[in-house]
Amino acid sequence: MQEIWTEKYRPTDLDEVVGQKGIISRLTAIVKSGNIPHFLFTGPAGTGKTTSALALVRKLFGEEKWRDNFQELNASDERGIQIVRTKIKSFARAAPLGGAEFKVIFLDEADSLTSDAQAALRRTMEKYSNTCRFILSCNYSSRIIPPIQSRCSVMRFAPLKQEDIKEYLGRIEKSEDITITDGGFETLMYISQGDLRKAVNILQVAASFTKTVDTDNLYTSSALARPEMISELITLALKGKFGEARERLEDLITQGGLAGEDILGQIHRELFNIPMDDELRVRVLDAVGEADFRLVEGADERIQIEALLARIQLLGTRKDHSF
Amino acid sequence: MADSPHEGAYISWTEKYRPGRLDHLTGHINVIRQLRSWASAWKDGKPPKKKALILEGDAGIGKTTAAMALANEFGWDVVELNASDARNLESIRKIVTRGAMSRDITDVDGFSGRSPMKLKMILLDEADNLYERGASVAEGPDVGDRGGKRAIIELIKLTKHPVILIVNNLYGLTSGAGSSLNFTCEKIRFRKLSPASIAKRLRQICESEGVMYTDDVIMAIAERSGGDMRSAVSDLQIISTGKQRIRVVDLDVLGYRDTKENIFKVLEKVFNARSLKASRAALRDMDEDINTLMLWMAENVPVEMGHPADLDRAYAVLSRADVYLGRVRRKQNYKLWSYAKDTIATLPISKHFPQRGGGRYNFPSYLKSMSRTKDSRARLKETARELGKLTHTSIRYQKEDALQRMGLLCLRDPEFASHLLSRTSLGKDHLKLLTRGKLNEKEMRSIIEGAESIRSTSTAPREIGGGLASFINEEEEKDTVKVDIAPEPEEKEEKEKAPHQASLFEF
Repeated sequence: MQEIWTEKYRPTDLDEVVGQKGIISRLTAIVKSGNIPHFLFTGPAGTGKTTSALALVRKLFGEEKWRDNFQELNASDERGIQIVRTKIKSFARAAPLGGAEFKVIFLDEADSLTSDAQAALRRTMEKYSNTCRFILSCNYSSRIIPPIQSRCSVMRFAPLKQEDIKEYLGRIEKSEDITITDGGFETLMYISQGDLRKAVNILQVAASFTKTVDTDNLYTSSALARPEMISELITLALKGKFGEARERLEDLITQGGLAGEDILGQIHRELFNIPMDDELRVRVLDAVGEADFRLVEGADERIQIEALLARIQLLGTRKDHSF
Repeated sequence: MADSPHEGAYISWTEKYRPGRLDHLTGHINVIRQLRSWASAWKDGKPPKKKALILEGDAGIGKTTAAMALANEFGWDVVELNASDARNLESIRKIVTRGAMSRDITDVDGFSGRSPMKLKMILLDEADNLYERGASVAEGPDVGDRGGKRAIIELIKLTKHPVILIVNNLYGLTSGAGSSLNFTCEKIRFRKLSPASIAKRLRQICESEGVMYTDDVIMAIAERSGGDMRSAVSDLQIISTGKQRIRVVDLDVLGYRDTKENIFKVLEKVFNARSLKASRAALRDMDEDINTLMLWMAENVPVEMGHPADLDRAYAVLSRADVYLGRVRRKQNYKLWSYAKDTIATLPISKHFPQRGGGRYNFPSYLKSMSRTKDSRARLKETARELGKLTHTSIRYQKEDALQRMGLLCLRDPEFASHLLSRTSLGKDHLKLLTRGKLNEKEMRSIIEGAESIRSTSTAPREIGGGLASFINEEEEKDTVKVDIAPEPEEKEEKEKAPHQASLFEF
């Protein structure tokens, strides 16, 4: 039976987590005591934060019962204060089941909570600390308010090394009976940039086309799986095709269901992958930042992003990009 | 149908001119063919495999009319239940047990047919408006549509008479408890009527009523109806009442017309103003809502401003005005409106380069396409949420990064697709969205059947993080289920600010 590989091969035991030896040995020692503090797992995407949290809870409560006293939430799904007031609070205050001492909430992408929501979270953490432990996870610990950080043991997940990724992908290669060529490995490293989830995802798509995974089919299949909507949007605007760029934008919003701030976030990330003069890049970056600022202040997200596209068109069609 | 009562009595034209025969139905040639072929299957008295028919489509395009005409053509009596009747389990079951199952003449209620063996068409109008969650307490338990979907499924299973369900939105009926209706019913989708075919009908009516008309008034009504024949006919009746001749100005009594006219004039005046004074005056006299104006401005700025520098300046103006409007909204500081308005008034100053072909303004397509895609966005979000739960990732990550890949994997490998569905509560609509409609009915069906068989044999928990977690209902904001509450420390709620501003794109 075919499953999603990121889940199929997600380590269930702390020992199987790759590349975070220091953290894992500390977590293992803490779990043995039967009690845990609040944790803040911080680090880049795909380095094992969620996996470690799940494995930790498994070990803590045992394979049979870990689901009973565990709640996983993603703060990016609901970024406002409401999630703290409702879901988090109602779970935190419920008594643990089956004689457990406490329950565990895993709050992923905690850095996407608004500051109001974080303040409310801090209160909840204090108030229910007898019955509930929090494992917060984020990419940037600087976006977590200091009072929360000070209540947590902070674990910094390092970017994965090549050999760690290789070891992990090797497990999949063996189990799925596929072959990853040397060039294929290199390409996976390059595309994934140390993000193991990304590497596994790309690998699965490529392997759905061919048993022997090499550079070529990795690129082909990852392009198929992910058309470059955002870079097209920017490229069209840069070339002076504002009308078409605006149509793409409308598709992203109406059909793709993306929120304005997410689109800007993607533009920001993609900006560095699109070939253009660096002088121009600086100007565009500045415009993206300004648009993001205005989007927060404004009433209609679409107008702000369209204004950005108009600015990018102007910058792209002007000869001189110097300041 | 159109036999009018006494001379002079008011009769609604939508009823009077409702076609009584399929041949007289405007448009819908394919639909008529499908209707007939489904109904013909009943002709020899034996029910066909699919005993129920779902007619889906927007309001006012002829679904009910078609169903009635079909009954007429095949000589069926009609038993109708619409939203004003309570359609709960009991009332539908009554139909099932008293009428739909038997074919003799001793029936009660709507089934007291005059001749034996005569088929009766059971028509459930507005079948997507079932209130599955039950009626409010005040109304009592009997009036809601509680269990309505289950009852419909039962009805279809047992009926010996043709059943037609009419919906605006298929998903409203086939979501949740209604999912099996996807397989047990024949489905026909009614497309929007074109302005030309609406205009044709309006002309026929005018001629039959002896009303003189100009072509532009007919086209104006037809275009503004948005494909809704019923509203077009009723508009025509309103402006024709007591008149022998109708002209465009007569449309003034219909509110929506003014909007477009006024906005057009405002746009024209603002874009062509020679001075700030003139454009301010145009905006001052405008009685449109400023947010509506912004929509029109944003839509039409590229029409007026062709040069990249002009367009950039114009958008800088709109962007600035939008920031004022955002502050008005958030701080309830209405004083800032005047700044927004005056900022917009500076638009013509942005124009340094002449533009040919200006002045042909477009209707803002944006809101329309937002509401058109509302359902598919909701399905998308459900898909993203379910897959996010399965893979421990956020809805945003799914939408931005993963859905496309999942769709591709589903296309590559039906087994993967079945597995995915079996682990989630996703259904056919979601699968269709995920695979971008690239699978045919048969393929989707076999994937869904595969998922069901995995579900029935698998003992694995459907999603991680269940257990206690399951009492927190995703859709429910309040915690309604009682659990043991840990001893609560002293309650001292902090003063928290208002919830985060919801996105404008959330409709």
